[in-house]
Amino acid sequence: MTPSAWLFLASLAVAAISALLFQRAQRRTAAIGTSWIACCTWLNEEQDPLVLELGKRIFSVEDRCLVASETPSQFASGFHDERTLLALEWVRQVRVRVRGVIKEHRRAARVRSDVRTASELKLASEFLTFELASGVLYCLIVVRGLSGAAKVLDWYLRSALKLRGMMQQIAPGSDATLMGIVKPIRR
Amino acid sequence: MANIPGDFARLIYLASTRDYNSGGYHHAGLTRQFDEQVAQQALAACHKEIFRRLVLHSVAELVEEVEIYVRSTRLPLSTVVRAWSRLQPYQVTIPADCSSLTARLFASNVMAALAVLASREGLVRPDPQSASRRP
Repeated sequence: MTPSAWLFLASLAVAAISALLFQRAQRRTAAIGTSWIACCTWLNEEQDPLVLELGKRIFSVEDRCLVASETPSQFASGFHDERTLLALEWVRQVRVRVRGVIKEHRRAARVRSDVRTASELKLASEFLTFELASGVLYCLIVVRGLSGAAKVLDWYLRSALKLRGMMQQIAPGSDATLMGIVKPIRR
Repeated sequence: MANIPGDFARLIYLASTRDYNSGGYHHAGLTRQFDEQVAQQALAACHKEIFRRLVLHSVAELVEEVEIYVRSTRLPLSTVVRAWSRLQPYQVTIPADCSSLTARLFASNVMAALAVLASREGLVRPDPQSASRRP
């Protein structure tokens, strides 16, 4: 084979490898793009419209008072226990969801060029606050019950909402439509 | 839907339009007027929305809703409360894509509403501790 034929074959091989790598990169970017959008829709209507709002209902003092005053003690005690279990499950579910979103965000942030260090640090600090609030709330529910944990609930919800707001700011998909989908909690 | 009194009664009605084998909704009138798929989507969305409203109701509000529903059945309150407490038909009113946590909260609230109604109707023995108890 002549040197020019070798050169031609080598160019073909390089072109084929480049095309393969480009295709792979495109697929990866598309997947990351999707997960990035998923980050900021973590509390959207389609996934679970009630995830944060449920918390207020589960912790409601009004409900526990009504049941305690109008039903037999055995039923009221069962209701109270059920609400405690629901509260623990709710904290766990919100935490799992937030952790999942942060994990996706970290994965996506590694390959994006428009990620700002300052906003990432803010997000990390807010995530740590959320984790702390989550742990404290969980422990208080176990140790002191729903009434004892009520004060921390506000802190926990505020932290979750702040985290959500930051995700919406950072994620490129946080346009007007998305902001409309992610409704704030009615207080 | 406007003719059905209360959200709880609406929820029962919408759940009754669902086929338990396929999970799809069927409404002859709507299907005649619109496409089958459109009718299904509309009923599913309506079901979800009413369920969402009810699950966020307080137990006191739910007691009122259940009472309105029972009155619409024209059966004695005691009969319905007894049957519902035993058979728990409200379990089949939960939309298919509802999370287990939401479903549990709803079931717990309906049970509480039924217990409150049963107490008010004198269906259960009065508990002397109840009035003074606070959580």
